[in-house]
Amino acid sequence: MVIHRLSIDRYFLPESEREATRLLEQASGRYFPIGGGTGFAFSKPKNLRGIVDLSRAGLDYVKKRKNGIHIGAATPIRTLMDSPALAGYCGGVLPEAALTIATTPLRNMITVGGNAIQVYYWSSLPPLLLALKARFVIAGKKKRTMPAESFYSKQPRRHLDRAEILREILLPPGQKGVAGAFLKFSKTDTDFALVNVAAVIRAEGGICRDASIVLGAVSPLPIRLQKAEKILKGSSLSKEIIEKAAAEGIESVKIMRDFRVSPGYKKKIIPTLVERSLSLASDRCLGDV
Amino acid sequence: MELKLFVNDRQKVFTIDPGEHLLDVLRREGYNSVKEGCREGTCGACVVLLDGRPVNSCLVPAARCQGRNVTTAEGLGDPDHLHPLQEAFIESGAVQCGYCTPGMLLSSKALLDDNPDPTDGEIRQALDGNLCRCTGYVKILEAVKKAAEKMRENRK
Repeated sequence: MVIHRLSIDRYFLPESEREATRLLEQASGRYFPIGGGTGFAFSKPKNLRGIVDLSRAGLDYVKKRKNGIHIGAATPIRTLMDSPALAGYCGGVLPEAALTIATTPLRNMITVGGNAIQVYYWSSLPPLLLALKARFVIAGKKKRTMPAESFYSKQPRRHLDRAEILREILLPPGQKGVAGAFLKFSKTDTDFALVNVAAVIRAEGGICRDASIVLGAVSPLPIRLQKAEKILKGSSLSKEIIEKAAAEGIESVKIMRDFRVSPGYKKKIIPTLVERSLSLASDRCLGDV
Repeated sequence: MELKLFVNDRQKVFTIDPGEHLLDVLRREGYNSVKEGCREGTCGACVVLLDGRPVNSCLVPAARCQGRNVTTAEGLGDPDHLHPLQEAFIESGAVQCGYCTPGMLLSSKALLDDNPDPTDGEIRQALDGNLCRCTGYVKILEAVKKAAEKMRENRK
């Protein structure tokens, strides 16, 4: 659906998150916060009368701190590819995932917060943020933090009241022996994912101590492959174990209908994609790559 | 509402509707190089540079550009003083119908401003948001490499 013009009366460019949340509170649901605003290519909220544009609210940053990586919600996806703080984080999985999102011009517009909170089933960041065990900082009357498991238990926007915004995403501190991989399967490089996989492994002495494996584009929200994770935990990261996790781990996954390809097609390619992402994450963990 | 911004380094003041996109404002104000294609950020015909970075103007709210600098193909050069990219596109035969060309030029400019000696892969990635139905892309890639060489020479 092509939207030529938004029927709004007001456009705000607040210069702080406090100003942004104050505007939203005063508007009683008639104003909508945006990061890049590219979601309007697909739809717009009902009864929209104004936009609160967060691009100047001081939420465009990537900071490495002792307690982890802080990424402002209005940070463009492109920054994930360029930021020195993220280049080596978790095996470089964030720039890897960022490159799978849309195209060069759109990566200058789509924001980390927007991609995280407005979940389309093909989105790249939600599965990765779930696999990385990110935490989401919400600003409003009170600041609160949600773990990814809760954040993605439903469409994340429904966790926020109308005067709240996603402020920041916190990633755990980088650690030796922890690495991830993100793979997207699509018809072309820039197309929406048919399937995507985020895998994050923690290993010591070649033994998997923890694993998070998340599938995207097979259900409305990203899903963890808990059976595959159990197969890996406590086992050596051998080719055989990885193949077993990939093959058996998806047995109970329900694949939703997708007008582009059949569930049967996705069911055939998922194990290969999971295996490849686990192998890559494992190699990065063990320092082979 | 009033929109004050820079277009091709010149200060401009436009009267806009708060809900308009940058594409529509630019075309109304005479910047016809900016083309309307898909209106959903897929084809790249509408690409302009916003503070030096390529964006799909069909999706950029015009009001967001308050105080910022927009570059269109009109800002690259004029018929008597072509930009090296424009020269290279002509010399390489990289223009057929011309509809994608302004977007291609601007995405290429952003690349070369940041990376004066790109690899083939880097050029392809920089142009991944610009579709062309005519050329098959080969001549466009050649033109960008040629322009990069011209620009490196000009810097010496």
